Amino acid sequence: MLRCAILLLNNQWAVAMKCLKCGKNHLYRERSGGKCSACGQKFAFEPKQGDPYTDTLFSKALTQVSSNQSLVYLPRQLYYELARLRMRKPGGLNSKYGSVVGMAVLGVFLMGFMSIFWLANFGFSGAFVLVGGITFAIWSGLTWVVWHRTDPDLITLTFEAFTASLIKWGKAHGSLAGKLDKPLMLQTSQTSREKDLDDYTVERVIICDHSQIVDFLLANNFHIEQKCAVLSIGGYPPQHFERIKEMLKRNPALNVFVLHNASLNGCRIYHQLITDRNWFPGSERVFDMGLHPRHAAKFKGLWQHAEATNTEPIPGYSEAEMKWLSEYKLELTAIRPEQLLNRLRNVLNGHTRSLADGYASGDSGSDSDVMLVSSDFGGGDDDFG
Amino acid sequence: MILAKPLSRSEDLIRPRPRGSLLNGLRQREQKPIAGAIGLAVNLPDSVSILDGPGCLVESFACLIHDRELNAQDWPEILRSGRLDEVSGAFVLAWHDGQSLHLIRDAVGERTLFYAPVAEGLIFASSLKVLMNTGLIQRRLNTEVLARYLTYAYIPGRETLIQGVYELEPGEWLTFSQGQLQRRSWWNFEPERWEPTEARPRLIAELRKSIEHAVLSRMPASGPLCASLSGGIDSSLVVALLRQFSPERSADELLTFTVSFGEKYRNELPFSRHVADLAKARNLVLEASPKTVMHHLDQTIALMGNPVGDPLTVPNALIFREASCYSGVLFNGEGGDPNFGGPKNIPMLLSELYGDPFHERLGEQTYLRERTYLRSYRKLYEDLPHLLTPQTQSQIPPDALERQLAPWLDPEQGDSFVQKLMVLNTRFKGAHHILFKVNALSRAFGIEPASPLFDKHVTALAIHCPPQLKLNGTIEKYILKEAIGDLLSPRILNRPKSGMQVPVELWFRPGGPLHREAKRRMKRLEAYDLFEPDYLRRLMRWELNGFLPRHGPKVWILLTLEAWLREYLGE
Repeated sequence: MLRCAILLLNNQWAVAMKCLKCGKNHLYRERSGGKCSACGQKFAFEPKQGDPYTDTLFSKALTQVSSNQSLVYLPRQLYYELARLRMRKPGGLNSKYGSVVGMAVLGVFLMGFMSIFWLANFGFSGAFVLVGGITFAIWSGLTWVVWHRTDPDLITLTFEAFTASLIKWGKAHGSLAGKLDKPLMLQTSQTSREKDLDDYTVERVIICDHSQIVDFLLANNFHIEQKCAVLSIGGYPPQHFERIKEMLKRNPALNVFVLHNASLNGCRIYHQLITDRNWFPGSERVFDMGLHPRHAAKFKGLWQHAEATNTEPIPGYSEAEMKWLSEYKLELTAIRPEQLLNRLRNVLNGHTRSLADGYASGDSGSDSDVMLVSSDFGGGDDDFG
Repeated sequence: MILAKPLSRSEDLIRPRPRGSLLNGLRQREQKPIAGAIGLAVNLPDSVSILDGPGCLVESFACLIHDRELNAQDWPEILRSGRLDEVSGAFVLAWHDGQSLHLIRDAVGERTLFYAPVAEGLIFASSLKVLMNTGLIQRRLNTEVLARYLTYAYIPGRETLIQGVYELEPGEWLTFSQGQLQRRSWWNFEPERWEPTEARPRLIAELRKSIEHAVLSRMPASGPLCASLSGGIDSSLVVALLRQFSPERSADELLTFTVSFGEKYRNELPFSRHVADLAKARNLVLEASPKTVMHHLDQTIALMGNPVGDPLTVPNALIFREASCYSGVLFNGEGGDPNFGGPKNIPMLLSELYGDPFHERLGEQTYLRERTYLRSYRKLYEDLPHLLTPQTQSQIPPDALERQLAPWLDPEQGDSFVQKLMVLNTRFKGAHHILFKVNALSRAFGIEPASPLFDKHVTALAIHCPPQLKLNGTIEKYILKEAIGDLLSPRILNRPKSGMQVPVELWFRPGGPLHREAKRRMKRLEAYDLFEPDYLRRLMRWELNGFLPRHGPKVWILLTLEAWLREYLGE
C-alpha cells in the first residue's frame, strides 16, 4: 500500500510494471535490464520505449479473450481485446477527465474575468446576457469536442504494432495457448464402411462472411454443442463444403442464420443468400443476425476504415447506414469470444424456444429477436467488453 | 417463456410438501423382490422371496409366450425346453435346477438383478439394499465405475459402484456352478440386420400392431388406468391408446400425471392438458417445489440401488406415490426416444462430418469417436481431471471409459453410424437409466411401471427398422410418428422441441433456493477424499470455466452421489 502511494506521489504509477511470475512491482529504473530484479523473468514490453502496453495488460487481455484458457480465439480477437483494454486503462480515462475538468476551470476563469471587465466598463445590460450566453455555448461546444477527441471512433492500435508485440511476448513468455493461427484441419474417425452419414440433415446452419469465424466456431465446438452446421459463403471449410451444402438441401425447413461484419461486403451476403439460386432463394427462414451499422455505436474506438469499393445500395439499408458503411467497418472479431458464443447460442435457442412457445400458445406469429446485438442488450462495455 | 396458465377444472393440482416420509405404504407389488444364495449361509429378510434350494423364483410383469400370460409354474418348463426367447415382458428370475443356479434378466432390462460372488458362493437379490444388508459384502467403492457415473449420470454396464457387486445385463443369462460363473445372452437382437426402406408400409403396420399389443397386455383388467403424461409424442400415444382400449371408463378412471416446477419455469402443461382433454382423461399436475425435491432426495436415492443423477428422479418418485393411490400400474412413454430417436444423433453426425476440435486441443490420438460421444453426454467427463483427486484418478485404468464404449461404436463394424448410436442408447440409457429408474422407484410404492414402447417386440422392431426411417432427415422418430399419427392431434404430432428441463441451474446457483443446502452437502462430499475441494468450491461459486459450464446439472449429479455414498457406504 505504502509503495503504491509512493509510486503515485512520484507520478510513476503509469510506468510501474508488475512481474507476471513473482508479482513484484518495478519502477522503470528497477527494470532497466528488461528483467525482474527478484526472479529474473523477462519483461516482454517497455511502455517507456514505445510499446503500446505492459505485460500485465497483455496478460489480462489473454485471460479475457480466452475466458480463462477455456476458449480458442483468433489473433484478431486478441488484437481487439488489447485495443479495448488500452482504451479503458486508468491513464487514458484520467487524461480524458483531466482535459475536460481543465477546460471547465479555464472556462469559469475566463467567464469571470470577462464579466468583471464588462460590468466595470459597461454595466449590466441585455447585451451582457447575450454575449455571456454565446460565450458559454461556444465553450460548452469546445468542451464537448475535447471530450470526444479523446474518445475516437477508429481503433488506434495498429495491427502491425500488435503483430510485433506478439513476437515480443513469445520471446519473453513463450507461445500463446488457444490462439488459432492457421486454418483448422479437424480430425475425424470416418471410414468407408458406414454409408449413412450423408442420409440425414440438420435443422439450422450459420453462414458467415469470413472463414476465420467458421474456424472460430468449429474450434470451440459450437457445431456439436448447438447441433448446427457452419459454413462460409465463400466455400469454407473446403474439405467439407459441398458435402454439407448437399446435406442442407435435404431440409426444406432449414433455418439459416447469417453472421457477418458490419461492412459493405458483409452486409451484402444476406441479400445474396436469399436471391442466389445456389443458396436459399426466396426462403423466409433466413435470418440476418448482424452486425449492422446500427450496432456500431456500442463499439466506438474499435471501428476500422472501410476497404470495399462496391458502394451500390444494399436492400434494406438507409442512406445514413450506407454512408457509414462507405467510411467504416466493424468486425465480428471486435466482440469478445465468450460474448459472441453466448449471444449466438441465445439467438439460436431463443429462436427455437419462441417457435415452441408460440406453438404451445397457438400464436403462430410469435417471433424472436435474432439480432446478435439486440436493442435491449444494454450496450457498452459490460455487455460487449 | 410459457408460463403456466391457471389450471382448468378438469385438472387437479398436487403440491407435495417438503416434510415427512416419501413412502406411503399403500400398496405392495404382487411379487416380492427375490433373493437367495448358493454356497453361503445368509440371513435374508421376510420382505423378499427367498430361493434356498432347487426351484424357481421370478419377479415379473406382463410376461407372455405367444399371447398367453405366464404364471410362476410355467417358467421351469420354458427354461428346460429352451423357449425363453419366445417370452416377452418384464422379469428377472432365479432358477436352481438342482445342480446350477441360473440368473436371468428380461430382454430389454425392465427388471433388474444384482449379484456378488463371495468366497466359493454367490449371493443375489433384485434389490441392492437387500444384498448389502446381508453383511457379506465389503463396502468398497469401485472408482472406475465412479468415473462412469460422473460421465453418464447413471451406471452403464454390469459393474456397480460397490466392488464385487454386479448387475445382470439386459437379455443376460448367468449360470453359477461349482464356483464358476458363465455368462451368455439369451436374446440376440441382431443390431446389424435391418429391413430395407422399401419395407416401410409393412414396418409401419407391424409397429402399430406391436405397440397396441404392448399396451393391451399391460392394462389392468379393472380399476382406474394411470399414465404419466408429458405432452410429448410418446406418452401422448400411450394415453390415446389407453382411451381407445377403454372407451367405457369415465374421466376419473383414466388419470394422467404431469410434472410442473411452478409457474416461474417453462413447462409443457398446454400440451399435456390438450392430450388429456382429447382423451377425456383427468389430468393431475404435480408441482414439485425445489424444497420438496431436496427434502425427498435422500430417500429417493436410497430406493434406487445404483445412483441415477437425473434431476427427474424425485418428481418421478412423487408421481408413483400419487398414482399408487389409484392403481397398481402406471403407464409411461419411456422408450420412444432411445428406440426411435436420440438427442446425440445430430451432434455425433456433425462431429463425424466436421471433426471434433477437442481431439487436437487435448492431443487425443485414440478412441476419437468414443471421446466425442462421452463429451456429448454433457455431464462431468471433461471435468474428471479437475474433479477427481490424483489418487482417485490413479485407480482408474487409462481409457477405461472409452474402452467400454469401443465395441459399440467401432467404425469397422456395421454399415450405419446412426444405427450404432441408437442401439447403444437403447442398451445403455434404456436399460441402465430409464428402465432401471422406473423399476426401482415404482417398487417402493407397490406399482408396476408399464413401458409399452420398451416392449421386447417393439424394441426388436425398432432395431430392425432402417435407421433412415427412424431419423428421417431431421425428423426423429419418423416411423413411430407414421405408425401412430392418427392417434394424435396435429398439434402434438407436429410440435417443435421445447426443451423442458428441471430448473436445477436456477435452484442451485448462488442466491437460488437450494444453494445453501447444496453447499452444505458438498462439504460432506469433500470428506470422502475422492474429489478436489477446490473444484467443488468453484462449482458452488458458479466459477467453472468453459463456454457452457452447466453448473446446475453437475451439482445435481454430485448431490445424488453424496446421498448414495451416505446410504450405501456410510459416512
